[in-house]
Amino acid sequence: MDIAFSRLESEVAKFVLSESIPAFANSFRRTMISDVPKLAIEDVIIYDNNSALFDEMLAHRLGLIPLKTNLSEYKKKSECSCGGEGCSLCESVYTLSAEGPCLVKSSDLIAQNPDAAPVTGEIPIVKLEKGQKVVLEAHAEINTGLEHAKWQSTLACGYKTYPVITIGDNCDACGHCADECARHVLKLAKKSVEVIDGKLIDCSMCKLCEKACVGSGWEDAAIRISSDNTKFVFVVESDGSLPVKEIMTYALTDLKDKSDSLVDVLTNISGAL
Amino acid sequence: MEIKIIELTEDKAKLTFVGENHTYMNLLKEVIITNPDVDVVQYYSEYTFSDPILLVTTKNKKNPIDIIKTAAQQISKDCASLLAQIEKA
Amino acid sequence: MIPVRCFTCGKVISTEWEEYKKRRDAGEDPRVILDDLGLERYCCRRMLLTHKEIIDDLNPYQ
Repeated sequence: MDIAFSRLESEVAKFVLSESIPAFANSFRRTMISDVPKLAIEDVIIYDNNSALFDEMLAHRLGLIPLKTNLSEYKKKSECSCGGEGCSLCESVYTLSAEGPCLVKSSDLIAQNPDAAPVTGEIPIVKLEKGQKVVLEAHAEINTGLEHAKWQSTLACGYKTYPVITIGDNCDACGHCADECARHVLKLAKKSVEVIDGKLIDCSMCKLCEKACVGSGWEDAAIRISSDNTKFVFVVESDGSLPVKEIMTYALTDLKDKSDSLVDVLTNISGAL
Repeated sequence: MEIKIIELTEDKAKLTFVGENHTYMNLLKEVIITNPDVDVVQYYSEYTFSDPILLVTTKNKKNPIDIIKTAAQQISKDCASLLAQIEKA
Repeated sequence: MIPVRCFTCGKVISTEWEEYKKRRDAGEDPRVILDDLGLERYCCRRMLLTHKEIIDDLNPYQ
């Protein structure tokens, strides 16, 4: 299996996974979405809240704020030595106190551990008028996207099969397909249409060009769109709590660990027979 | 990973994978099925969130456990090679 | 209040609201503002386009 990045930044990655199978691409995608852990606010202790938002709504908004996560620093609560009670190894504590008139933002959320502060301080939480007050304490914990979407570190995370465009000899360069293409993948050359260099990856496989080709008089379309089932074009975006590279590494390590432990278990089974 | 054996004969294995879901089971099934010694391989979950059950039967009395093991080793190898490439990127 | 994240993809869009509101009220074309703010997908774009701020109407009531 091969991986070739066309873009790799801390929050976005685009790459082509080749010599693979659809099942692997899908497992990889599903693992990145639902099995990569991150921090998110789970418990909120509200001391004072007379704003226009209900306590529950406030807690929900707090939960959705992405928090910078260092996975080596925190463990899942259920796997922590404190037995799920909550300690500094599995919980990050935040305090917020604000009095109106003001707009409470995520930068008002004071983290006890500055390494686990909100990714951006610009997220509006609630707007307070004169006399309104919010005082609360929030506890963030590690969990996975399987439990709740607030623990999902990827945004757009998906793949498509690699497009294959074949142009037959019966193409008469009428150009209808190039006009029809919404992604501007095709151009008119001397004798037939051609794929513009580097644009093939943009093809959405909508097959409008095939229809345009048949519509222009051919019984059998000269242009054919198919897909390569061993190559996948991936897009992975992160919400900022973890760098994309770490999400991908974690997901692959997770799949690898599962397989390794399966091998161990099966070795024990066949040894016992 | 925790496994419960439901049925195990020389050419048939029926195993429950505790705590797994489609994410891993579908991949495992697709990799096992590429093995020419396999007769039937399928997995199913009785209810949406119940543990999936994998069924493998083989041709010529090949050991089904070994076949699952080879598939898992293959997946592990693929992940390792991708991890090495990402590390370099 | 503007939702913290896009309902569909989960991108944090609430950070862009203040600027979007200011520029929209100044008469700028929403398409241009959204492109500027880097909201590429239509799920994120509709979050800002269709939002109606009612916190100021609610605030007199507890």
